Amino acid sequence: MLKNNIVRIVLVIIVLIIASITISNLFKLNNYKNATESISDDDKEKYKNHFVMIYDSMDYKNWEHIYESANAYAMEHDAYIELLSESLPTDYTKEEMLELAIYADVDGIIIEGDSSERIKTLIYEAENKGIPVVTVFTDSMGSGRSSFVGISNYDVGYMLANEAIQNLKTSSTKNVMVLMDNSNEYSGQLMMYQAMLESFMGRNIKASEVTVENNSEFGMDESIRNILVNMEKEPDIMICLSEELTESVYQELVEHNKAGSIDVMGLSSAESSYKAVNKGRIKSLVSVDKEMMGINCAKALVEYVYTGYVSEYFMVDVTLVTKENVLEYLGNEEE
Amino acid sequence: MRKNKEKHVKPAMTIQFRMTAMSLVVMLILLLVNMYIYTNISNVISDVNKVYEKNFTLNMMQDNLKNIQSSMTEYLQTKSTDGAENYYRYVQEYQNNLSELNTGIVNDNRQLTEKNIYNISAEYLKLTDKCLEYKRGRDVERYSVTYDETQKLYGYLADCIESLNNDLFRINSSNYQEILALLKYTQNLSMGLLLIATIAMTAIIAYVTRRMTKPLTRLAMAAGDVAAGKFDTPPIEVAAEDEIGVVTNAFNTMLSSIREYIDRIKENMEHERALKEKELLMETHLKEAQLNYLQSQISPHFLFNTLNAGAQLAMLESADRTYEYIQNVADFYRYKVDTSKMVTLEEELSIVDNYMYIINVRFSGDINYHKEVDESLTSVLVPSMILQPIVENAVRYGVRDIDWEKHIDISVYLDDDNICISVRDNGIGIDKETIDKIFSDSEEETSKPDTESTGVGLKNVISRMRIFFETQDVMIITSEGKNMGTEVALLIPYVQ
Repeated sequence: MLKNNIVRIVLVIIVLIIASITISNLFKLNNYKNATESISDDDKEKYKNHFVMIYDSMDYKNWEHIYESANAYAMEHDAYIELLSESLPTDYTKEEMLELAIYADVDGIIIEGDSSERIKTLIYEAENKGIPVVTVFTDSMGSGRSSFVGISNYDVGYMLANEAIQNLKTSSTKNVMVLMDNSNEYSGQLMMYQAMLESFMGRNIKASEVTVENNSEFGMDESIRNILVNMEKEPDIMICLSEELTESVYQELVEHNKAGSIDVMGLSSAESSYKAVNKGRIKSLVSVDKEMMGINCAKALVEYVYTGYVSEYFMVDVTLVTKENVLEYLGNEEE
Repeated sequence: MRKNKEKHVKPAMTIQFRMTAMSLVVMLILLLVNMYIYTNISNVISDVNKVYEKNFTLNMMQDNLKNIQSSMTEYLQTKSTDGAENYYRYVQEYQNNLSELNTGIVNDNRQLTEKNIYNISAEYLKLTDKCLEYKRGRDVERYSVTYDETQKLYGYLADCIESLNNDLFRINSSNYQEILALLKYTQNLSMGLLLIATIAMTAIIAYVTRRMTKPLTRLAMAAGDVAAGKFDTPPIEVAAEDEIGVVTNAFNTMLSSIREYIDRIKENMEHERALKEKELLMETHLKEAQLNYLQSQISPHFLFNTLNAGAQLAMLESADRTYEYIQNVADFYRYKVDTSKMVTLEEELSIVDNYMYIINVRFSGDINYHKEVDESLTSVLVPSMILQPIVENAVRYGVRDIDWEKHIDISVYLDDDNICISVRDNGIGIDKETIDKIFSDSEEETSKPDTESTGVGLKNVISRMRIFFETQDVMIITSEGKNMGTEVALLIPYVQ
């Protein structure tokens, strides 16, 4: 009887071992399938419209936020935005990508516009083919684009100028150096500068404009370094009219041990810039609401696709970030 | 034999069935394990094949695209038939490749790239067709412009395909490594599984076979014991209702029957032995009685002949009483000499009559002999010489020496289930000790004859009656006290 029970127990144990091995194997296979099916065609979400987002591949950091919020909005409205620069070799220019998107017969294009004729022609061509184009950050005037999503450059100019005036409440004449880069956004920066000049008019503020070369990948840093090294007299305030400029100038000042001795103001939504504001090394920043920018881009295309028309301009809010309110932004960034 | 045939029981679960079922189960489990292993390995191998499938398609596309462009260029340059034929062939192949690409809008950049390639390819093929058409129409300007455009699209397509191919290759390589690892794992697992299944099956077979053969071994051992004469072997427990179970049951029944037969034979032998013993005892007692008689008589035959001669002489001389006396004596001894073992009660009573006549002649007729007999009971068979010794005792120890009138009464009657033969005298009586002694020593002292008696004592009568009637209560002796007489009653079981 005892022997029979032992035999039965041994048999049950063997059966359990086989079963557990089989089950563990099934789990392993299942896990493997889950891993490999991520590249298969079956379990992907399907959408009705295919949009592409095109920007200068060197400017990925600046666009990351915009893309994420735009795609989130698009997906909610049965559309998916493809980042074309990720699917193509890195040496593709914005124009080439735009042309490719037109050939690929996508349902909508979001592109960082500029005033070049080639871009305008291609936008025109796309619109003619029935592909709506939304320009962002910088507009391509006269291209026939469906909509533009950006900031009011005049508003930003006034905002920065007023902040500078607040910081320079003295009787003596103060020097303000306004830095611009010769990128796509140059025309917009000129508008900002124009607004500043108007604001400084009749005050003891002497504004000077310096254009930083930004033709190559590492050109900007070198140009800023040259400016800082070669300037005869240090300005009281340096105002940077692009995010890249603000970042680079701050880094160069830190490197040359001048952070804090020259007040820096500019445009930026980067975490590092907010931290610099918090430490008092950057005086103030104009921050663009990139989430809203992305949403507006997608919204413009969705509206156009579904209704056939869309508002020509979508203005995005800007906020002045100073030491007083920077913690709110740092908190947001961390989230 | 017929009974055995009727008793033949078909087992509930035959060994054949169990062996077949066991084989089937074992084979089924091994088959399932093998199928499982085969399916696993097959799936993995299929996955291995699938891994680079897309890369293969994209490589083909790259080649076909290149060939389309070169064959179109060749046609544009030479307008050769081969160029055109090749062009259409490659276009066909390229279109076949295109059919494998994704065209839907999904949340995956690689698949969207496939869609882009598909759409750009459609545009490209449209342009190449136009280019050939313009060439045929000798529209040099347009086919030159279109050709430039196809070159541009060709560049885009080649870049897109290459980019996608590289991207997929990178991912697939990682998958391939994973699948290879999985394949190795599956192989090891399969070996392990097969090994465990084989061990398990061997254990099951050993277990089941042992279960089947164990009762057979026990049966063989028990049969060996029985063959060696050990019939007290306990019955074997029936493990299963199979053929062995049937054989075990039959063996148990056989063992039980053998034991039963042996017991019966023993009983019969015992019975026979008892019967023989009884017969021998009867014979011994009779022989003893006869011997006692012969010892007391010198020559019964001679005496008998002599008495007959005397009787004839008395008759010739007309001495009737003498004749009657001698005749009675002669009858008495004839009875003694010729009597067989079994006599009727009537004959026993008759010999008592003879005896009483002789005694009365001898003792001057002073014993009053009275007889009261139920005639319907006199035909019953009894051992010879059971009544006369009692009457003789009554005469000798009861009434011979008394001063008052002597009476001996014999009565035969039915008392419940017994025939009662009562011999009553009015003599000196008998005390209780003597009565007890008679009964307790009845068997032991039968061989001690009384020299004065006719040869057969009371104890001898009791012993013989006990043997003959197979009961202890064959005689009752009662005496109411000294000089109050004695009654000896013989009890014979009455059979209707």
